[in-house]
Amino acid sequence: MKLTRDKLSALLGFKGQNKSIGSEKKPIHASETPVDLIEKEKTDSPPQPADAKQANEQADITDSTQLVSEIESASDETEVETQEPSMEYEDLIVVNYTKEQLAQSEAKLAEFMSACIGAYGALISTVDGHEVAYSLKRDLPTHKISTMNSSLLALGESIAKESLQQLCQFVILENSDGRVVSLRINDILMLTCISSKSTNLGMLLSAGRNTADSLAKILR
Amino acid sequence: MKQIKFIFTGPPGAGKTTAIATISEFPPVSTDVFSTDGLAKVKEKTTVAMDFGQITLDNGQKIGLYGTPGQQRFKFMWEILVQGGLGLIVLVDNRRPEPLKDLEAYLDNFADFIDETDAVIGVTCSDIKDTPSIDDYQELLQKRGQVFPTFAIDARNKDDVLFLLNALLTCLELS
Repeated sequence: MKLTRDKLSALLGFKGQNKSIGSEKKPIHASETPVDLIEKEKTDSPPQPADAKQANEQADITDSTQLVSEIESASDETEVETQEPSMEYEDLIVVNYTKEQLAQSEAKLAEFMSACIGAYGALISTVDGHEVAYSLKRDLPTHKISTMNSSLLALGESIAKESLQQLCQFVILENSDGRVVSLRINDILMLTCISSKSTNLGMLLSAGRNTADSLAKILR
Repeated sequence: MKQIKFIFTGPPGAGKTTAIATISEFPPVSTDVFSTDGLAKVKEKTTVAMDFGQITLDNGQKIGLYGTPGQQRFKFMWEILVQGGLGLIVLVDNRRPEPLKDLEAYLDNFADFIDETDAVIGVTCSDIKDTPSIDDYQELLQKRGQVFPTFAIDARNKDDVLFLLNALLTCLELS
């Protein structure tokens, strides 16, 4: 039997409409023509640290990973016009750091990049997905990476908890041509380290941990 | 028996995590972290990946309850979470400045999913702010050419959330 929404509405006591309901259900994706709830997707990068900009020019572009291109591609696809109402609260960032703190943090990120030859990105972001500072050797969608890694870290911590384990120290993405490591700095901040395979995992984890500890002291 | 998957969505603070926690038969998996933006004035923590709970019906049918993050910046999670889903529960916070536009925004963003499945709408906090009314919501849906069961609910009340779930199940059975 196939009921129309009119009949369903009558059954449930709602105002009638004319759309029929099919019986076949199939899993699908969310809307392929998304409507932005809030804002134009951030495409303008914040001011880039000078050392990163210089390093960016020196970076071997031909060595760009698939991850980078995919993320950039996704970023382009989601650029849509602003539409009210706002579901975001980014205009009222509660976490504020002084310029001095941010400068020190960027210096620490640069140190990390120097220590890990293969590293081409280090980002500080809030655990709810707002970027705070970063150092890059390649052009990366920092806003998107910050948000996605906040989800990933939270999932990692939840999985650890459900597995009766404690204190998720790292979430590691091991890819064919590189690694992405996420770890907490403190209750509200996290660090994401992105590296090619030129740096071994042990070095990446060690340098990442040390950097996070240093950042925790700077960004109190 | 295959598990049914329902997805809870809606603006931040609408009660998605609470609703799932209210009816889940085990403590739900949550990915709440401290809010560091203006949302912190409304609530201390926010969901950044997903909530997951489960409820088993009398006939043994298990329903997986998945909650999305509310913020647009987590849209990539919406797209992941709707995969394999059979129905959408949109919670709207009546205290927000423009709840009707909130609803429209989510209906638009989940339009493809809703077209293939079904949806119900739960309006929360209407005891705190009584406008727009349920009739206003129905009128909006009518203008859009859509009909979805719409109820005022308290996400902390098990009966309210179950009622919403039952409405969605009924819609799916009738379709």
